[in-house]
Amino acid sequence: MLTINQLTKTYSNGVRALDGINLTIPKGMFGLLGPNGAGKSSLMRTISTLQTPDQGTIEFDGVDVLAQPNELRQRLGYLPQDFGVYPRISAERLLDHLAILKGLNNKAERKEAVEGLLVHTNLWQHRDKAVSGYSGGMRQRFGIAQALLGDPDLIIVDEPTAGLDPEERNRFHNLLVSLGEEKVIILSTHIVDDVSELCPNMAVLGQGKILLEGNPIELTHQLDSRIWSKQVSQEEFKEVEQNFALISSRLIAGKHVVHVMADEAPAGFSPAPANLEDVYFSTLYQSRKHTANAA
Amino acid sequence: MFWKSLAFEWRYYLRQPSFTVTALVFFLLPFLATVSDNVRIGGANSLYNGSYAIAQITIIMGIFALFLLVNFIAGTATRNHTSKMSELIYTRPVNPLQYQLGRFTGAVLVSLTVFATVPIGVLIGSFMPWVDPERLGPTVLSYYLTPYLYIIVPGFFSMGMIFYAVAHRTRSVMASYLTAMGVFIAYVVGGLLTSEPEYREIGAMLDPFAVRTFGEISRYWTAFDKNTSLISFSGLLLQNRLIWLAAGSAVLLAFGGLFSLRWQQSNRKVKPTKASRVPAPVDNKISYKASGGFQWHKFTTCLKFEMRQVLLSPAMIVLLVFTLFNLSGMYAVDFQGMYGTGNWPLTRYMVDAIYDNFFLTFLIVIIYYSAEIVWRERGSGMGDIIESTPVFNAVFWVSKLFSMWAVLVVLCLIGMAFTLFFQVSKGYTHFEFDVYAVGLFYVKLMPFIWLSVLTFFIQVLSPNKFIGMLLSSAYLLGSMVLSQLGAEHTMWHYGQGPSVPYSDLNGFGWFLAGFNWYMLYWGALSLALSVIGFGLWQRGPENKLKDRLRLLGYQMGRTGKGLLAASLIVFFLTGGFIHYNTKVVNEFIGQDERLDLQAAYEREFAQYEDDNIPVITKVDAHVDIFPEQRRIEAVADVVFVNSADTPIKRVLLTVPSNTVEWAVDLPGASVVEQIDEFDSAWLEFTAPMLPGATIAGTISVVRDHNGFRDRNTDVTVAENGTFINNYELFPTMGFRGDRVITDRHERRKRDLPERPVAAKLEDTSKYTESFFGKGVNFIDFETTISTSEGQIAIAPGYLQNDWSENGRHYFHYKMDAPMVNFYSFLSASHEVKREAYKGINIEIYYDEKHAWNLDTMVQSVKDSLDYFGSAFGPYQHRQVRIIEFPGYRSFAQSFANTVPYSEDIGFTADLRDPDDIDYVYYVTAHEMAHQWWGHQLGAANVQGSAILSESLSQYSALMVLQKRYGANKMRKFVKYELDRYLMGRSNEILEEMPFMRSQNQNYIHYRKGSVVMMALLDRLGESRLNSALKSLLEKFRYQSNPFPTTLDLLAELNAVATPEEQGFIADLFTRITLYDLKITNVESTQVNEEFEVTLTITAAKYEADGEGRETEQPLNELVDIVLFTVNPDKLQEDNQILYKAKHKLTSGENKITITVPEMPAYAGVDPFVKLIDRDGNDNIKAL
Repeated sequence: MLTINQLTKTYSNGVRALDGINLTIPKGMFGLLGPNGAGKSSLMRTISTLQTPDQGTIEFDGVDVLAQPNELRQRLGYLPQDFGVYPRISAERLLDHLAILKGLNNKAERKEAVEGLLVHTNLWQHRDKAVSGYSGGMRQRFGIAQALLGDPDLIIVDEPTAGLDPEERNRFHNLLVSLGEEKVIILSTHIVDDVSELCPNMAVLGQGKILLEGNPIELTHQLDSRIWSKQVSQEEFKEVEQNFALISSRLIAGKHVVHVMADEAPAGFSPAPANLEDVYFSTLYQSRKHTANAA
Repeated sequence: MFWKSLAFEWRYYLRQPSFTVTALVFFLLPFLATVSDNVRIGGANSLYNGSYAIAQITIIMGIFALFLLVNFIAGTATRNHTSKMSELIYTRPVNPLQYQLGRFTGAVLVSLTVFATVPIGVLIGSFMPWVDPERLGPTVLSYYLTPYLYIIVPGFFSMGMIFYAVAHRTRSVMASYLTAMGVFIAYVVGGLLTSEPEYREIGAMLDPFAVRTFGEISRYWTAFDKNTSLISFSGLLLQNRLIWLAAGSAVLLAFGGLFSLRWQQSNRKVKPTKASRVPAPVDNKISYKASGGFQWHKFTTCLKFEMRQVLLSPAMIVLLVFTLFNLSGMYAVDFQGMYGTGNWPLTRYMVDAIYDNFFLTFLIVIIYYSAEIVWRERGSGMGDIIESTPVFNAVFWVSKLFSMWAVLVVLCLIGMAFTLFFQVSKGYTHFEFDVYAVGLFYVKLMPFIWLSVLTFFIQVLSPNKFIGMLLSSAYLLGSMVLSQLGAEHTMWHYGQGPSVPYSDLNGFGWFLAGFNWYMLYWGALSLALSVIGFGLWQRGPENKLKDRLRLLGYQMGRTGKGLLAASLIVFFLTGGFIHYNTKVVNEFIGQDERLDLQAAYEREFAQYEDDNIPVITKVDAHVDIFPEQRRIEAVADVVFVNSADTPIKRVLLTVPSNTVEWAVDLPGASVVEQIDEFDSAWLEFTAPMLPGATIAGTISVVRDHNGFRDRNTDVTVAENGTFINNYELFPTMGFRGDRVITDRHERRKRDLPERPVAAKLEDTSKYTESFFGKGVNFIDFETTISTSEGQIAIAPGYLQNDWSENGRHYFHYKMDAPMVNFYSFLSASHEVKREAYKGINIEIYYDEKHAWNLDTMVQSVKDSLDYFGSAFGPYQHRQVRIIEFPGYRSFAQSFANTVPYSEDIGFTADLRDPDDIDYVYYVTAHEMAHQWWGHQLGAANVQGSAILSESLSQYSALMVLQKRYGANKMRKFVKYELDRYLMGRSNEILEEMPFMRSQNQNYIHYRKGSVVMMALLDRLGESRLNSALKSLLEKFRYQSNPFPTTLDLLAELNAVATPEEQGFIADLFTRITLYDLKITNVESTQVNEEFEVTLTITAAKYEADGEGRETEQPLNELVDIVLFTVNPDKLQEDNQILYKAKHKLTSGENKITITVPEMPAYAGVDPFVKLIDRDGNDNIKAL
């Protein structure tokens, strides 16, 4: 179990990336949703011992992460949001190198694990090519492979599905699910479907704060029969934006379809089944409103 | 488009901090150099704001500007790529040529603007009120503008074009830095290759920074020229700049991508490989649990990985190719040696050659690689992955550091492999791997090893690698300034130790002992830095130093803390020990401190300068040399006489350094006061020593060594190769004129009055004083020396007896005739070559490894004895001994029947090429000549004294050389001498004297001496000149009352000369006369069977004053006109000279027509250097 307490970080340029974050993350898959710049990557890096917060504590199974980073690293698998690789080294050799660094000392086991991961990430045929020459998606899969080396207890994957085609994304989801429920797996993403498909627990992060935390299904239920939708024209859209709690709008065949949140059905709106996306957007909407009111 | 993109670059950089920072740096250095004595750029002896000083600072800063240029230009060339803008830009309708040129020009203009702060720095500096006004001249704007406009502007454009093209092509700033490094190292190596006179012009032509071009232009500038002469954009400089502009344009056109904008992607073809055909394994278990804690395996893996990354990287391959290219220069020039004659490739020379070649490369490699290696993970973008693995910081630190060291070791190995090959190819097979091992891989390499720990440490503390590189470079520059600011002790210079010279006689001697302590000291500090360094190792992109400091204790761990404590203890203990040895047991005096001490000595004692002192007439010395302990115990029975006409009451004594015990026992005299500060003492007579009185007494000393020193280690006493003279061993009497400051500016800074370097030639009061110093006269000499069994001890005199006693070897020498009070004691285990020649025993004491040139030396001695004997008078001894001593000092010196000769001068010369000057033969003859000039003929202690000893010895040696090798070969030698003279006068810091008034000016009494004497020989002929010299010698042989002066020499010469010749002699002796002869045109037409050659010669004659200000004199002189069938540089036979005769030349243009039977290839005016020509290169012209 990972416990995060009052985590705060302000960068030298004044940006408050983490603002008193409290989180308790149980075993299993945990989704961390948030828009760009919400502080997801800062939080991920901090848990992965690569960044020191100004305040707060992180504890994982009794290890004080900030004071004993080496102890955590032994149980950690981390896929950064954005990474490069050493030039001129093949995927297999690089993975083998990383396996040793992670502590897979037995040569036969290491070989089996490395090859297995290459298969799982569909890189087997490209294993003797330099990773630096990989395309974006292939490189992302390599990143996934290395994060799973050595059967870590804590897996942190920062926007893992970015750049993956739908097929590869599915493959990755299956792989994550197959890892079992005995690990803490934190999945940071801005793709709501990733979370709804995989995670029994989730949190929404915005402007360095935890805006919402809970089980996706329960959270969705809370919005049941409070979401209304309507197809509107360009002029109507402005009106809706001013008068209603507009959560989201999307274009369907060139027409705006808006979702608003209300206890009673507004005139002309039809009820819509709530989904996790509505939860996410309504959370962000409320956070924005809150900030606007405070200002 | 052009102007728009130019303006964009301009505005872009103006807002960058790098613009401000570099401008500040480039302003500050010249500013400080102008306002502070402690910061010097170049070593001008001229006005701070004179044309030479400004040009020199500008040009030297121009070298540093290489990296400024790369920063801006490569930044511009790659910016579209690095900022991923190229796809945006290249899809717009831009004119590529205008767009690229505009950007390029903008970046160059920005660099030029930054660099403009250099002349501005000097200008503003020269207005600062505290600058010594004596060192400033009037402000002349053109002094500032000409070097900037003529050298820097074209230089920036040409280099800029190359960097732009490289950066554009490779899309890598680093590639441009590597190119810049290449240009720089090529420049340095080019300097080594073209240092010989015949290559200088090529060197000047090709120098990318025009440093050597300016050097060539200003080579012979006198002090006066240096303050006022402007460089002009013509000749060599113009050619040089045009060559580089052409080269730059060519590179830019070829690789600059000027004509098309293309979005480049390296799309390598994807080939199906074997791997793709192997079927994928199924059901592999991927959940093997890592056992994170065990670090050893991680360490070995990281080590292998880092080594592979470093050693197999493209940069390393470039570096290796470069290094080999660099070293191959050894084939192009002879190293060491004199007059263009090289030495045998002894291992110690090889080690030095490798070091000289590598020194800069190593510094650059260390700065570059420590940045690359420390930041490898961050740079490749893999940092987050690698740094979150359970690997201890120490594993990263150590494996990376080892790979850094591996680069250095590999470079040394390459160097060694190359020099071994070089040795074999030169036919030298006495490999000394121990000298390579210790000399190269320990003494030379170790300081770099420690330095790399420091740069690693700096990188770990830095927020990015560029700041780290900047800080490391700043440290290296700073450490140079540090010694100028007073922190001279090696303990302040990271990784350094005292120098460890190697001698084939004495090995590494005692030098290693001190060096080892320094290495332990730096090793301990490096270990401490390592522990802190890995403790603070940066993991993660945003890991502030402050945060890392919090975890320092955790990261170091118990072992780390223990190591840190232990290494700090060792560091402080060894530091204390070194301090104790170098500053407590031994004396350490900094440069400024020494000057202050000299000033204090002068203030205290200069008043006693003219006090009379007793003169030694007889010496019987008992000297016990203990080579293994480097200890000498000596007692001399001495007889003194008061040869002055006043009584002597007190005598100032000066005790030599390294003397632990001393006593002067004279009846009726006692030491009344010791002034330890100056190693001086007052000896007082109870009853004054009356004129003519003699007393006998003893002087005793114990010379010994304690601990080790930081510098100025005593090299006179060695385990094998002791060589010490009487002034270094025994206390001396009277004021020591050689202890005062001679530098005019240093004197003025300390409020010392102006002091003549030597007494006036006309000062008859000094005519009874020997040029060896006051109180030096002829003595009866006898000595008994003992040394270790197995060594031979030598002193002047004839061996009376030698015997063994108590395990020591005793030698008794006695001289049978009076000799100058200047003698030496030598001891070493030598081989001896003996030969008898006309009743004279010739003996050479040499090291068994150096037997190459013994026959040459013997031949030279024989020829000298023959020629000098018949020309000047008999040799005064029955024996000639040449004794080899360690190369810690490189000179040969003539004592009575004894010539100590450094192992580096002649013993190791490689004389196999008959075209080379046989300088072994020449040096031997020169030292032999001193037995006449110096030992038979003394000289009064006034201006010109060295002319009588050195110039006459040069002449005598040249005559012997000419007899053996022919007059045609002398040309090369005399050209060397003329060149050294002209350079010497350019570096004069006081005042150039006319020949006969030379005062401690080597370039006059040696270099000009050769040319002047050859001119006299040409004009008077051998027999008249020799008869004049012989007559001088006969009048003054062993004469000390008075000693002769150059006036006597001049009188003898005038006595044999016609009035016209006397005028010529006066030009040579009493004035600084310079000629400028030049063949402007030469044409030949065939007339029947013969050829009519017409030469047009411009001629001028100048008289210069002591500062080099010239006034033209009417010329009316007989000058050699010669026609050759070959290039005179390749002249071998007399029949290659078609025509040789003297023609009268007058000022201005002269036309001469000569008819010869054959078509000449070259024509020359004064080609054999009989006149002092300011520019000898235009004296020869090819037809």
